[in-house]
Amino acid sequence: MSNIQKKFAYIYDRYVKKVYLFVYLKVSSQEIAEDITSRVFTQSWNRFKEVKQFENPRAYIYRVARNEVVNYYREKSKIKIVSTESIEISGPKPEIEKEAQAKSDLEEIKKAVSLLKDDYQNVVIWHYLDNLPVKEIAGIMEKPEGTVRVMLHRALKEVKNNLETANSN
Amino acid sequence: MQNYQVINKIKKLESINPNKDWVISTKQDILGELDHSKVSTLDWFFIAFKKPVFVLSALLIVMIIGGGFLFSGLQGDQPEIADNSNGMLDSLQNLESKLEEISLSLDNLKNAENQKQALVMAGIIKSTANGIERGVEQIDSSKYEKQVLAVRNASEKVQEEAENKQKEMIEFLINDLKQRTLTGEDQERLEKLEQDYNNGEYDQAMIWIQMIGDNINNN
Repeated sequence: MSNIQKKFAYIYDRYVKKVYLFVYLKVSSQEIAEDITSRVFTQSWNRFKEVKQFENPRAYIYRVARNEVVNYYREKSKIKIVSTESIEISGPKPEIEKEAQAKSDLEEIKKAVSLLKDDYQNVVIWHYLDNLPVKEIAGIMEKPEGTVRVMLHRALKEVKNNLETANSN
Repeated sequence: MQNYQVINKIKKLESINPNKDWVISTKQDILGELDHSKVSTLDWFFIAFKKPVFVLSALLIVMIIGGGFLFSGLQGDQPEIADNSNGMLDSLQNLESKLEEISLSLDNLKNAENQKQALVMAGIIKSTANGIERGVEQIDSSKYEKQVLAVRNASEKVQEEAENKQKEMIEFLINDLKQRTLTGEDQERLEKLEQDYNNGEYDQAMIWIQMIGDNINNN
């Protein structure tokens, strides 16, 4: 393996799970998430071969991932209508699927996050699942830190409302 | 429903993982050859500066830090523990005491002979303390205000000290690399490394160090 391949392999190992989760939560399908994530890393690798390094690999890869998800919905001419009936947990971990309660909890929160608008989903995933600080999220989204903080606050409130609504039905 | 309960629910989504075979085969497809091994940040340090004494000291520090991970378990049981005030108070006090031990271990780290190994440990300590701080944010602080504040302060202190240590050690490594004969490519990386160091991007700086280290080991 050449040096440049080693460098990209390091980036791949570090971010593949996170990018997959990010995409999966937006498309709600294991197969589509795998396909889009593959395209994200293929595109990133092609770029990496040209530039030899990324100033900020995480920010670059997430930008590609966001664009690929947008392209996916555009190409398929799909309107992202998310209803509680349309989402299935098809998470690839078989042990999760075996445990009905765990699946139910996971499905509940997945629905609640899926109902958020795109930007709110992004901040929730990046901050709470990827542990990115607000400053870095602001960099990726090219928005002021204050705006991201407000988005986070509102997104959390919406997730909470979505969960409560689901529980009351 | 409290915010910490919502955050705990969101964190359950972390259990969604890609299929391992797909991860390996996609990597193989993209990079054109099979690679099961990960490029470890630690490789350069361990290969180039392997000495048993450092492995022992590293283990010791990890054991101390391990105390912090007690908190992960505590988070998962939060709703039950919340009804048991004594249990929560004990856990928080224990956590504060562990953080003080970590803070002391950072002082010892300053004297470590192998600064490269110590740099890795400082990064782990900083990240662990950050995790603890994020964890306590999810506890209902109105019930355990004093203890939560004490843990938060101790976490912040450890993070600050660890970051200072990282800074000192990256500076040491930069000076060390400047003494070496580097390839043109590595020279450029060294410049980027210095840039990231000056901007306070220590985690990114670590990636440059690892890349240069890989090259040094390969040549």
